[in-house]
Parts: sequence; C-alpha cells; structure tokens
Amino acid sequence: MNKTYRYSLLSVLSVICVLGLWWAASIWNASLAGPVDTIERFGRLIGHPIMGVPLWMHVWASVRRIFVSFVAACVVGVSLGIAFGIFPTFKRIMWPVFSVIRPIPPLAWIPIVVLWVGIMGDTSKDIIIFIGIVMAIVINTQEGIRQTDDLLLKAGKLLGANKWQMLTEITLPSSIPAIFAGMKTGLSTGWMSLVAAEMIAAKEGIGFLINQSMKNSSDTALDFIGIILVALCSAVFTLLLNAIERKVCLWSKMRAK
Amino acid sequence: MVKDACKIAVRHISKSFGDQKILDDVSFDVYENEFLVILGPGQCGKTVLLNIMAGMEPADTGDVTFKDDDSDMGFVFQKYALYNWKTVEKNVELPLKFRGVSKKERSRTAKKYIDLVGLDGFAHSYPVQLSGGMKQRVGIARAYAMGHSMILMDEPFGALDAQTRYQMEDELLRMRNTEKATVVFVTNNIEEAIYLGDRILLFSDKPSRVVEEFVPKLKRPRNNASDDFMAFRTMITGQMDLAL
Repeated sequence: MNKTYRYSLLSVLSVICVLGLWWAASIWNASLAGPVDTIERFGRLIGHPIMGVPLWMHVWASVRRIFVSFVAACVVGVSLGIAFGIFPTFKRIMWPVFSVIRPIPPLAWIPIVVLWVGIMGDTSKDIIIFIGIVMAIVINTQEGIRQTDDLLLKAGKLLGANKWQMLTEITLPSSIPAIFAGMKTGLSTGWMSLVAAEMIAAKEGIGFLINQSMKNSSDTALDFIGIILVALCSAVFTLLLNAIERKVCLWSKMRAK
Repeated sequence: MVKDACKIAVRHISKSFGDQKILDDVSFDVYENEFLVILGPGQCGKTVLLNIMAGMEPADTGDVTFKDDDSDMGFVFQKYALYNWKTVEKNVELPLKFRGVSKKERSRTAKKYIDLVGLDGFAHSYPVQLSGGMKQRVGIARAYAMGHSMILMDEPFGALDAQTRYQMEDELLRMRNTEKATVVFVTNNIEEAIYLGDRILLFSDKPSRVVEEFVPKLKRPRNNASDDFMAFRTMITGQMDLAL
C-alpha cells in the first residue's frame, strides 16, 4: 500500500468517524437531528422551499455575496496594504486609525450599515462581509511588503529600477505568498460574517436558512444543512484560491533540490 | 606593464558609522579593462567602499570620478540576489527591462549570456532549483548582460564550497576572453586574489586603508600549486599579517 493511498484512506476514515459521532449524539439526545434526519430534511427542503425561495437560490445568494465582497476586499485590501507598506507618512497617519478599527468584529457594524444603506438588498450584507475579509488582506500585504529582503531591494536599485519598477517587479511579487495567506484568512472571516449578517438581516442565503432553523421549533436538521452548505461552499472557494496560488506562485512552492 | 587609461579614480574616501571609522583616506585608480582585486580581511569595509563607488552611499569625504563620466556598472552579489519568482532568463533580462529594452532584444541578450556562463538548458528554471554555483552563474550572466563597461563583484564566490569556487574562478577568467569589461573584484581569499587579479590592492582592517599594491607577474593560466604562486602567496600573507 503506498503512502498517498494510505493517507486518503485515513481521511475517509476520519470523516466516517465524525459522522458516527454525530449519529451517536443524535441517538443520545432525541431533539438533535442525525445524519439520516438531515438527508430526509434535505429532500423535503427541495420539495417545499422556505418562503418560496428554492434552495439553490439561497446558496447562490450567499456565494454571490462572498464573491463580490471578496473581490472588492482584495482590490481595496491590497491597495491599502501597499500604501501602508511603501508610504511611511501615510502609515504614520492612518495606521493608528486602522489599528483601532481592525479588531472590531464585523458584526458590530451591522446596525450602522443597515441604518446607512437600508436592510433590503445585498449592499448591507456585502459591506459587512467586506469588512470581515479586508482586514487580514491589508495586514498581510503590508507585512509582506515590509519583509521584502533588503538585499533584493538594494540589488533592484543597482540594477537600475525606478520606484514603480521596484514595486511591480520586486516588492509586490515577493509579497504575493503573504497576500494569499491574507486572502485565505480573510475568506474564513468572510464566511463567518456572512452567516451572521444573513441571520440578522436577510430574506435569503445560507445564514437565513440557519436562522429559520431556530424559528421553526428547533429544526436542527435545517441547521445542519446550513452548516454543511457553508462548509462545502467555503471548501470550493479555498480550493479555487489554492489553485490560483499554485499557478501564480509556482516558485514559492518549489523545494530546493 | 603599460598602464591603460584610468577608468575609475577613487580619491581620499573616508567614511564613519557613528564613532567607528570604516574607511580612512582611501585612494586608488582602476584602469580600463583590468581585473582589479580588492583584498582585505572580513568586515573591513570593502562592501561599504563598493556601495560608495556605486553611488549607493555617500562618502564623508573624498570623491569617485569616472572616465567620460560614465558611471554605469554591473554588479555581482555574494548572496546572489536573484529574484525567486523569476526564471533564470527573466532574472538575467531584468536590468534590461528596467532600462526599457525591447522584449526581443532582451531575450536575445539574456540567451547569449546564459549560454556563455554554461547554463544553456536552464533558462526556464527557477533559482530555487539551482545549486549555489549555478545561482552565481546567473548572477554573473545578469551583470554582463547589463552591457556596461564596469562590473563590481562583492565576494561573489564567498558562499560557495572550495571545489565550486575553483570552477567559477576559471569560468570568470574564460568570460574575460570574449567580454571586455573593467572588473573590480572584492575578496578576503588570498589565493583567489592571486589566481584572478591583474592587480591586487591589499586593504587593512578597520579603519581600512590601501596598504600595498601587488602585480602578480604570473603567466596565465595560473597554477596555484606552482612555486611562483606559492612564493607570491607567502609574500602577501606576510604583508597581510603586518596590516592587521
């Protein structure tokens, strides 16, 4: 039996163990839906959509929000991170402000955002998720730029780079692994913010489904459906991001021979 | 020896960092197309001197002037300073890209020098895939590809094992057969200095001064086991001990 095969077998076994524990817990506590109840509930959800919105529309609503917010957060986060990284004066002025705002949980902004853009529509949710994602990207971009090897910067100057070329050819490419790390951290905070924002202020989305599970006399099976959907969607996003990362920074994954 | 025209004139350079004097009234000439070795103990301020010559750092006193005011130069760094996210080819091309040279011209020049340093077949490899010696070949190719008439080399073989070092020294001399350039080569290795140099300037420990100038009148290719070589080496070692 080769190593890869043995490792994938271990992964399958661990999933089976988790399902087993879940099943045991549902036997022990009758109000908790088990794996089989959840599959049944999934079937009923397909036949009888909640509030007339089919399941795929809920999933799509959440995926679309994450995607839009993620793209916006990447653009803003990387730009802001670069600005912090290369303009000392900008950093001196704005860093204290950023440092105060950064640790605030994105959810704390919900009332203000709702008041500002209204509860209807996607904008309020998009902003909350954006706040959740952007912080990690700013921090990591800034840190990546700050940690650019001094020798590479010195060499860049001696090889004749102007300021713009220093950024595009040296500082930024060397920060790309750090930026990707920030994107991944941001993405997980993003899903956290999404579920919370949708639970509080949405008419569709996975978070909305999860919230419904509480309203309908503890429909725990529906909660599990929401949990599994979030897990699956975020796994797909992470896989995509990993694939892009492998493509963009082939070099950083290479090992010396 | 017929002295060629003076390419670089270093005059009365002094430099201190805080209370510590690093360079103390350093003056010398670099002649056109010669291979000048600056030999000195580790940490004696040789890198600072190169930085000053390159215009990267100001001197406290003194100045560096260039023939025809042409101060463009190539560089080879001890720790290679290769860009890991760029292939060998893109690394060699980089200084030309900075200068706005066309893509076609860039890749033609890069190919020429990659072949010249013996890395044909590795143009699309990434630096992490190369050994130390191969990395420094890229460094040398990049310096020559810049196309300037001067190249400064800051202990370029300092990080290599002895075997690779000998190989690289021969490669460097071989390059000189086809590529005209004035080379200023910094090292702390006496043997390397004698093997390579047309002329050797011996520097003292901090605060560094030029202690002595040597012109090894040894036929090339030099043999580091020959009696002449050994005698020369013993002589410089004696001087170096005095200098410390």
